[in-house]
Order: sequence, then C-alpha cells, then structure tokens
Amino acid sequence: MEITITLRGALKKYLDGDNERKVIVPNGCTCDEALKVIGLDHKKVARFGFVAVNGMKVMINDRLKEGDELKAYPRISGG
Amino acid sequence: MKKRYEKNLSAFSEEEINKLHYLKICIIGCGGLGGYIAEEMARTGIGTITLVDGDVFDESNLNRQTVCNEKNIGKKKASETKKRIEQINSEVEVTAIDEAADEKNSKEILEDCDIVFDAVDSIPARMLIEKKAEEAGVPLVHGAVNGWYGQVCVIYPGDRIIEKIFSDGAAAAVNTKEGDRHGNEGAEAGAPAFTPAAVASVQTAEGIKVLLKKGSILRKKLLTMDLMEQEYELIKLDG
Repeated sequence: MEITITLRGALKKYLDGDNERKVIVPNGCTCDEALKVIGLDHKKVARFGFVAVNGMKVMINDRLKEGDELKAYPRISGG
Repeated sequence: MKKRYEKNLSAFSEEEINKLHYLKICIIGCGGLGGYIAEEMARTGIGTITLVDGDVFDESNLNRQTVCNEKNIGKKKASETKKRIEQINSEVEVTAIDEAADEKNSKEILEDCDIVFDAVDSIPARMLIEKKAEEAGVPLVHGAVNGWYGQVCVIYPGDRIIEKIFSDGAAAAVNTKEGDRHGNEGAEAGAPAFTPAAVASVQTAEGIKVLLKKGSILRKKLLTMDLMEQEYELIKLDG
C-alpha cells in the first residue's frame, strides 16, 4: 500500500532534506515498520519524539492503512 | 485604569485586566522559558507569581535566558527572576523558591495557584509537574524548546498529555540514551534566544486565555513550531 511519510525538524535528514515522500509499505504495517522503509529506526535516533497519522498523535506501534499520512516529530524537551 | 496597563486595552477589557490582579500563577523553571513567561505575565498585570527553580545561572545561559546577565552568573535563578519582576512591576507579589519542584514540595507550591507553567528542561520533571498539577486540580501550560523547534499545549487535570507525548514507545526508548541519568537534556540540547522567547510568549497567551476564560486554547492539541521553516502545526492529542 502507498502512504506519505513526512519528517519534521531535525528528522528531515532521513529524507535527504525533503519534506515528505510517498512510499510503498507492506499492507497493515505499523508506523515503526513504515519508518524503517526510509531508513529511520526510531530506537536508534536519540532525538526521536513521536508520530502522528492524519493529524492525530498515535503510538509508534499503531497500524497504518492505504493513503495514510504519517508524520514523525523530533523530541523537544528543553526549557 | 493605571497608565501602565493602558496599552493592554487593545487586547483585554478593563474588567479582565482588573481580574488578572487577583489571580496567582506558578512558573516551574526560571530558565529560557520561565524568565520570559514571568516578565510577560508581570507586564500584563498578574497578581501573584511563584517562581520555582533550584538551579543557578551559568555563563552558557547568557545566550537565551532573559534574566541572566553577566553580573548574576552563579546566583539562584528563582531569586534573580524575582528581582527582575520587581523592577518591572512592583505591584506583583512575587515568591521565589530556590529549590527544584519535587514530590515533597509540589503539593504546597501548587495548591493555591490558578495555573501552572511548565518551563523545566527534563522529561521526568515534566511528568512530576503534570501529576502534581492534576492532584492540585490546576491547569498546566506545557512548553518545550530545542534549537529552532518548540511546542506548546494546555493540559487540564485528567488530560495526561505529557504522558502521551513523552511516554510512548518512541520517546521512552531513547530516554536513557542521552542526558544524565535523571533524564535531563544532553549537552547538545539548547536553543538560541528567539526560540524560548517565541514558545514562552505562546505559553503566556494560552495561560492568560485560560485564566480569563476567553478565546480558543490549545487543549488536547499540541502546537509544534519550526522557526527555521516557519511551519506551525496543530496535532490532535485526544485519540
């Protein structure tokens, strides 16, 4: 299935600076699995924050469906 | 209406300005965010401010923390912020608590305030503040910065947004990999002056709207700010 992945802030480097990319991922895959398709393993990214699908914050293990817009945000916790 | 508040009439009614004089806020963290919040709330005419921070100013704070100057390096942030506020608006009643908010003191600190501002720099501290604000029944305005990026939301008791933002599988997986063992930001964290100024200003606006019960607030919505690309997004948090 095709989804759109958008990376925000410091995570953009995983799309070579592009804002977003349409990618083919396995049907019913999780957000985590979809990000690995573009080479982003959230467990290895120190400043990874959270993901949102279609504008709603979701858990990294939530499943995706055709046409979803997956966005990943950097962790922001300084004061 | 005192002349010092006349220019606020472009945003508030006289009744609203007078109401603010009787309200109490608590700012936890007097660094990048907290200094700006305290100053903006004082200029708006809030009645009482409690400032909480156990840290002292360091030379590395000079780039962004508005209360920090070359003469107060090494001095307590909360007390120095109190001095700054008293210079701006002597009508504001200011209390400085020169210690970090913790399990023991948070209840007493928060029990009398009308709203609390999250201006700390670590995830564990934010989780504690959310928990204690909920126990005290007080709304919380969350703000955080890093580099060009920031985020803000309003949290009412029971919303548990900090948990949602920082405790999922993604953020939790890396919490122990950087910063010190308490989960503080690592040395690479930080921000230039304009990021905390921008985020703190949004926090202040949200706090005032909550206090005055006006406008739309960022409840169950996280505003993410990217000042490099000028991208601002609202992410729904109630799913």
